[in-house]
Amino acid sequence: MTVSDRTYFTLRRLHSLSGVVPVGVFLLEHFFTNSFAVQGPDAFNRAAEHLAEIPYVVLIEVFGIGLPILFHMVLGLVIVTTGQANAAKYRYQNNWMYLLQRVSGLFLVAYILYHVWTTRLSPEVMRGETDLFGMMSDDLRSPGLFAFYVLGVIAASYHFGNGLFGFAIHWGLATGRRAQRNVARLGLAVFLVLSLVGINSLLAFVHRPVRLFERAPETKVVEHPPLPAPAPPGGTR
Amino acid sequence: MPRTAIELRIKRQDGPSGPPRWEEFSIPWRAGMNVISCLMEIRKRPVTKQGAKTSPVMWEASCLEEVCGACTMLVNGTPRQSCAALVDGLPEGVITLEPLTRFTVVRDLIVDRSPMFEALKRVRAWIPIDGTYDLGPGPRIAETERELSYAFSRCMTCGCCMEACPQYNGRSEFLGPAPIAQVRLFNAHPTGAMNAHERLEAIMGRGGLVDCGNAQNCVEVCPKEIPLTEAFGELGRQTTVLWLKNLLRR
Amino acid sequence: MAQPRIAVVGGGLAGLMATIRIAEAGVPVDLFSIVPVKRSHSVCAQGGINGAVNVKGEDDSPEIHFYDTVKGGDFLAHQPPARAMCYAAPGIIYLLDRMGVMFNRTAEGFLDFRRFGGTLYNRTAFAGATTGQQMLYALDEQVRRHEAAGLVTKYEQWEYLGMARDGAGRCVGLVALDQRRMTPRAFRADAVMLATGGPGLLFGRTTNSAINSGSATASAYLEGAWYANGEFIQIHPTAIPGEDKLRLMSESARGEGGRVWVPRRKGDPRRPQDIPEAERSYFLEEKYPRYGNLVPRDVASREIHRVCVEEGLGVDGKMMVYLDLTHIPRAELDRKLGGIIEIYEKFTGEDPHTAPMKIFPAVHYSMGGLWVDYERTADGFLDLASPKNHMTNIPGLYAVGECEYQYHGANRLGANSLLSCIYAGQVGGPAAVTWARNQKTAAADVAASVFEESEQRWTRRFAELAQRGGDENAYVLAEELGQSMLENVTIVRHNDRLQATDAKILELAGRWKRAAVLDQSPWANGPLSFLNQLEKMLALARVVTLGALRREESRGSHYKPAAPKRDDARWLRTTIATSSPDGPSFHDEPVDTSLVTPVERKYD
Repeated sequence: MTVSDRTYFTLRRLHSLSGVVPVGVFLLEHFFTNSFAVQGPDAFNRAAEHLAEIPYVVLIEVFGIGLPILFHMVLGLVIVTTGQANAAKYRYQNNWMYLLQRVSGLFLVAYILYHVWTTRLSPEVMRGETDLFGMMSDDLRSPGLFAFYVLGVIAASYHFGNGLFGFAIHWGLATGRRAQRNVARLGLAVFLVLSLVGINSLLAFVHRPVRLFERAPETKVVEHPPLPAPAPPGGTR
Repeated sequence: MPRTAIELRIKRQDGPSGPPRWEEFSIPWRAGMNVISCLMEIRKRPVTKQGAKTSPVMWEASCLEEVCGACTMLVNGTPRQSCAALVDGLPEGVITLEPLTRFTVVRDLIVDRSPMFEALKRVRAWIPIDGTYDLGPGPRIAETERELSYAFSRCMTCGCCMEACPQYNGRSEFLGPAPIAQVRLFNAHPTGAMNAHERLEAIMGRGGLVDCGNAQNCVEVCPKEIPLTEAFGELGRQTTVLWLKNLLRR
Repeated sequence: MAQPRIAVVGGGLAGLMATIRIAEAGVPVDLFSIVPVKRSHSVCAQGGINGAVNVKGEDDSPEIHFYDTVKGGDFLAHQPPARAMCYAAPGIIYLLDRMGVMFNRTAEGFLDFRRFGGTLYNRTAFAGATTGQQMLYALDEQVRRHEAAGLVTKYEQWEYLGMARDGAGRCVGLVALDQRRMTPRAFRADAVMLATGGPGLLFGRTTNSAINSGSATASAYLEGAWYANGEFIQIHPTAIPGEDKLRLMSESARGEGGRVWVPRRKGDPRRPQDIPEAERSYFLEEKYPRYGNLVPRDVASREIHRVCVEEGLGVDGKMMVYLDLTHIPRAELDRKLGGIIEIYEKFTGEDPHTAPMKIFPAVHYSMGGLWVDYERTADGFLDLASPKNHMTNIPGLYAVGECEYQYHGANRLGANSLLSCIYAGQVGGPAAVTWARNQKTAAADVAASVFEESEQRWTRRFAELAQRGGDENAYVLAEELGQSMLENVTIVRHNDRLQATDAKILELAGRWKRAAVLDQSPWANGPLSFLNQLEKMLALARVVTLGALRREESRGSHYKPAAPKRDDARWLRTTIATSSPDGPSFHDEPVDTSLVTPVERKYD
């Protein structure tokens, strides 16, 4: 497929933009919602339901999240093919970041397809029969899947955090060398914080969250109907 | 232990299509030698380390003081000017010389860097003056601005940044850091600014600015320490503004 | 008549300026260069370009610039062209500024000027210490613009071999060698303009680039062009040694306040920083209180020779002195001399901000070159409408830049070379256009046999050379040539040693016949090309050496202890060498000194 030079520029700018708005913003929201898991299944499922009650939710999901992610993915795949990574030869920090941006992006394609299918598009979920917390909890108790999810969280956090660095330069927000370095640091900070928050949510699904200042959730489990949980979230505690 | 002999391993190739081969040379060490003087020594006695007669190694050179860019090659894997590669400044052991890999090899260490000059044409890297007749003084420029621009006007089209750039390769149309950064230079000039949009549009297409992947190797390997990545940031801003203007005006 | 077409050979400042002027006149140009034009030797020019713009309240004027120039050249330059050049200089600097050359600025944003040798005025515009590079790039960009518009066709990595001449002897084209395919090819041209630079390689290691063999110029000489003032070779007082070349430390280092000195005590073992002021001899400042460190280059080099060789005060016992910048603030050094500071640091590993530089004289520039004509006006300028300007004695063959002799007499002032290159291009380009437009028979209409014959001559020669076996190595011969020339034909010249050098050159020419071609490849065969060049270099080396032998006086860069005085009665004349089967034959012609009367040249 060939496009005119002008369209190409616009597509690339939209690619860069879509990574931050709406995809990046959604990522932040998603990690925030997931963090309710730290407060227990109840809190999490409540938060999920709240989201489901947002007006025009399907339209938002399709046009505000799904299609932008798909667009970002497809163009990203095209972009990846134009590069020839050489970090083994030129061992500079930014060059590693360049390589990781592409690796994380590629991984995220697989991860997101899986994640969206299992948690949103699979027939069971679509029928509204699934206890999300329970399902996640089950999945994550498999060490393989847990690792897969941890990698997904790290990859998404990195791709977004480091993406901010590229975004700032592409759009001309950070022009000076020091400014660019600072944006890179900010991006890495975002990466670290999001990774920790994301991993903590994953731990929460298997009932091992790290709690900092939160009020501990009431210990009574699943009073809230209707939860035809296939397996009760039996903890080791 | 100072060297007594210099061992070189040189990647040679008879022509653009010919298969590469390695040849080894051993030449006597003298104080102050650089890679060029090693190659000069070889052509005076073109014999390999193993004693086999061979042809003199071909390389490109002109100024020999790192202002013309001609003698760029991979010295121990790093793209740099071989004139500035002093033997005593290189780690002990064999010195490896290879042609740049992102350009077509002409012969031995000579590569064809004409794509860079073509790219300069494409980005319209010049000030469109009315003519060479006397029109009096040029525009006044603040010394601070001049210093910033001077950094870019020292680009000698050597190709180091292109060699190190992961986006400059056979698979992409990317023009490469050096030619694109020149747009920053000409757009900053008071006269050049008058047609800045033409240069910007030239780098807004495929192969242009947006194909940069921000690996920023360019700025690390540039022998003249040209702030290429700053140029990319500034041009990012300029193209953003022009793009929005175009979107809203049309 | 068909649209004329002009060939320019050489893509340095002079060649590019000529190209721009010709293209501007609407005439297509074929531009030949042995390297991509952006890598021409002009990049090595560091310090600046002269022009009496008079922005420092000094009452400088082009007339004073003109006087400094002819006095600097020991009155051997024809005065009308030198004067016309100096009057054009401010306009040239403005033009370059308009092209975007990043000249240093004053606080108010005007062009800044600094001092250079042989003048008491701040007259030198500069772009850091890479002025030549900056100017070359600006011209390269303008040429690229004309190239994009289709008026200029570049033949980069093509080497000039020789002329194509019609039955009347007019130059109607050239033969050039594609350095990749190694096949000579003839090109038609209504005028051919050589802008092929100096012959530094005759002296082996010099401040010149690796491409400055002088062989294109020598080829023109061998085909009948006159070579003028070949014996005048400039030795630059301040360079740093290297195994492959000698790197220039610009005169601007002294223009910005750098001081040259040696320890007063012979063989002083202390570090220069540790030698107190009282024990240093600032020998230039002492002997030349008015010009100090900024005496012309020939004077400074001779003084360094005297102090080091005759008095034995050279650093480390060598012909080496200190050039001291340590008293100048770091930021100012970086801003105004950055380029050379960087070169010194990279190639010596020492920091000129904190330690004096160790420097020594090196062969730098040829004042001599192809003889070219000019048309003067009654009031002592050039008639710019004349096709004679910059034409050699061969009709249709022009020469501009360092490869011709016109502007600098017996010694060139620093920062006048960039000026003369640009000016020669500005004048020579239109002259060639005028010539080309006024020919009855266009090159396009000249019989094809003319071009076929010249092409075949070169094809045969290269076929012969490619077969050549033997026990000599051309690069070794070139090194021997350089050593001999360097020892005997530089700062101090003795007749017996000049004769010995000529004998050496003849010996080398004999051995050249036994020099094998070191490479059998039909593709990008550098050794084959060099074998051809070397024969021409040897011929030119004789012109330089025998010219020096012949001139029994001392003038400018030419100094003979046996004839230490200038002799205007006999030698205020231009040396002209013509090639003959027995080597150069010489005659001389008077110099136009109608504008200022030659006086004794003094700088103290």
